[in-house]
Amino acid sequence: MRHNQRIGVFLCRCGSEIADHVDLAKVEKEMRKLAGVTCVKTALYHCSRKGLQQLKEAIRKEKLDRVVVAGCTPRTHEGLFQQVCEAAGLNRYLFEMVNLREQCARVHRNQNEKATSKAIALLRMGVAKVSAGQAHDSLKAEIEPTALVIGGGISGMTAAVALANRGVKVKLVEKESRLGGMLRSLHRLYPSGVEADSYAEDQADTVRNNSNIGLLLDTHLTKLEGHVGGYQVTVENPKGSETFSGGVIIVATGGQVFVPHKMYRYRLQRGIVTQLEFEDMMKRGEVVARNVVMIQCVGSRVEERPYCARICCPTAIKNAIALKQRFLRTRVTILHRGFPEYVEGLDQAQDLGVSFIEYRLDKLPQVRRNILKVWDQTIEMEAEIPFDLLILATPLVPRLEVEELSKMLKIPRDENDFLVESHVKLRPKEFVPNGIFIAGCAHWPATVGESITQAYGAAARAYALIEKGYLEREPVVAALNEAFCRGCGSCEEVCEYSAIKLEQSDDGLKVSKLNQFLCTGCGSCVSVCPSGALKLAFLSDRQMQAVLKQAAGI
Amino acid sequence: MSNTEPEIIVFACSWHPYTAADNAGVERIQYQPNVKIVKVNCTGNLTTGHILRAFSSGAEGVLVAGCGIGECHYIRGNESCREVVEEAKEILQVSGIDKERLSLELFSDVDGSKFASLMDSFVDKVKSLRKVEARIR
Repeated sequence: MRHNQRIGVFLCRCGSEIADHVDLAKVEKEMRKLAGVTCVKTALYHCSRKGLQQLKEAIRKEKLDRVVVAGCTPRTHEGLFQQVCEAAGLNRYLFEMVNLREQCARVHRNQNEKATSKAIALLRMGVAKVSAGQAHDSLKAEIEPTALVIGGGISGMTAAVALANRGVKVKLVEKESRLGGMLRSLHRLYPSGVEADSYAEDQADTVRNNSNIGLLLDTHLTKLEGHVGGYQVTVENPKGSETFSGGVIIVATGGQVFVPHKMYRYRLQRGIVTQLEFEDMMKRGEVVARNVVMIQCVGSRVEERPYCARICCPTAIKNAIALKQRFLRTRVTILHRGFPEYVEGLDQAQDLGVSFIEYRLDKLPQVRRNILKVWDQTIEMEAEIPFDLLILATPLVPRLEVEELSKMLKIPRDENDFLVESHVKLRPKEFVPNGIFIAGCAHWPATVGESITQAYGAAARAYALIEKGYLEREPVVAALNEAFCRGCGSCEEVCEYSAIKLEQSDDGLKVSKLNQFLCTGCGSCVSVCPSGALKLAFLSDRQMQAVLKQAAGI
Repeated sequence: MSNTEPEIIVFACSWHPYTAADNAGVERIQYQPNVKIVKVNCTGNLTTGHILRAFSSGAEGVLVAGCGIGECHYIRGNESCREVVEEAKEILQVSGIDKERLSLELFSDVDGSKFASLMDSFVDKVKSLRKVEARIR
């Protein structure tokens, strides 16, 4: 069958990036010898307007039924070339990209001969793969114009209102009895100085008055089924349980403050509080102190919690300024381990008379009654600072419920247990399962301003999906041949996305059923299937064997 | 065959390890050209069959490049891959092939230099193990 194929091979010089280190003329000659290859072309840049035009014309003129482009990494340009193929009437899955730049020319410089023979081998692999490949159709799912927002903090409220104003029916689920989340415990926002409580109340009013938002307080998420476009959500509250559907989901569950048990005599002695508790004291007007000391990075940037929680430094500066503005004679000292660059207000704090001491992790400050002993890095001496209020800046950590949530929504967590978005730059605010988005502290500590921006971002991405009405996705999924299935259930066991379920069929036998919309194409089920009923839809065994045969040069 | 260079097949997950390999290129970090990278969507979809097929096709060493623990795009594909690799090692051993010829390494996307240096050390190791005692065909 291979002689009937018309494969086009397009070699890219990438300026001189590839051409300088790989003998493309020789590669071209070798390619012409391959069975099924009817067209070989070399261009300076295949990704240029002219190059793409050439590619398109060649596909039409030469009646190519398969295309291989050898150039840069598929991670950047594969999509572009696939679009061109499609525009020329060629199925996008009959296209293959060979990485000659990042994985050949650039890593085997100045050894032209070896790099060239590797390039030939890589191209033979690419041609073999595409030659054994098949055309595939994209998967398409309808999107219902409804949304579920989990969490009624500032991120959740903002996202819900943004979607509702666009005419989307939103269900906002909050586990507490009132909206506002962590915003309720804050004193004033920086730099506007707006009272956090009244701001939260304003936002809550907007939510309550919006007829498109169904507000569910005191409510927990108990079950989630279905897939993008029509998730079936079950929630539970004191009134009973309720099931509704949501086309998209926005996760805005927030974080919580790390409690520094027994660190710096916290809770063992009066006058030692966290920044969050201090905000509450400020709000109540309970602060009477002559000597205030703040310690930064309590429980963060240490071995068990290596991340910087980002918001503690701005919070400390904000509170130090507020203290100084209110009680001019109060002495404020901040013990820190270096400030991140984005922190604002350092100059203002310094002008107001706040003092700063940098401490070292190997010489932690010690609390002795009402004296704080600290090794001052600048004067290389131990300093003793009296205090009547010690404020500990502790990081935000993920909520305890996050484990349950991540299992229910099938989203991964990072080493610190925060939820991980699909790709920070390429698919921001989006999770691996389609139609689930994130905003706020659930994926890393964020300020109120950042949370709001993220909420708008998540709402925009979710709305784009709703507006379009359907989701088209690559068939990067498993394929099940039910006739071969012997009902062992191994696939159901390993599937992290509940995409495969063992079901009783009409003739009484157990057989696996695959939901391709829940499937993410990880292939775990394929690797455990003992009868070969499960395959990858996008990469057949035949292709893999053909590639391996060429790779090892036999 | 001892005069020729050994062929090494690297099964690289398309997420972190493939990016790490690209980053080696971006940073122009050199390694030996014996290495041929085969991209897979996730190392979780590799079977012992794939690994053994690589050997029977003539590869003298196979390196499986997965994502770091906790970095798997598909929650735990890299962990299930570990079991597959262990199983394949046992089969290699009983087939008379040194199980050192199969290796599982985990990468983060920024590990360009680590990728290059591991490729070099693996090629060197395979060279020192040279002659495949028996080939499963």
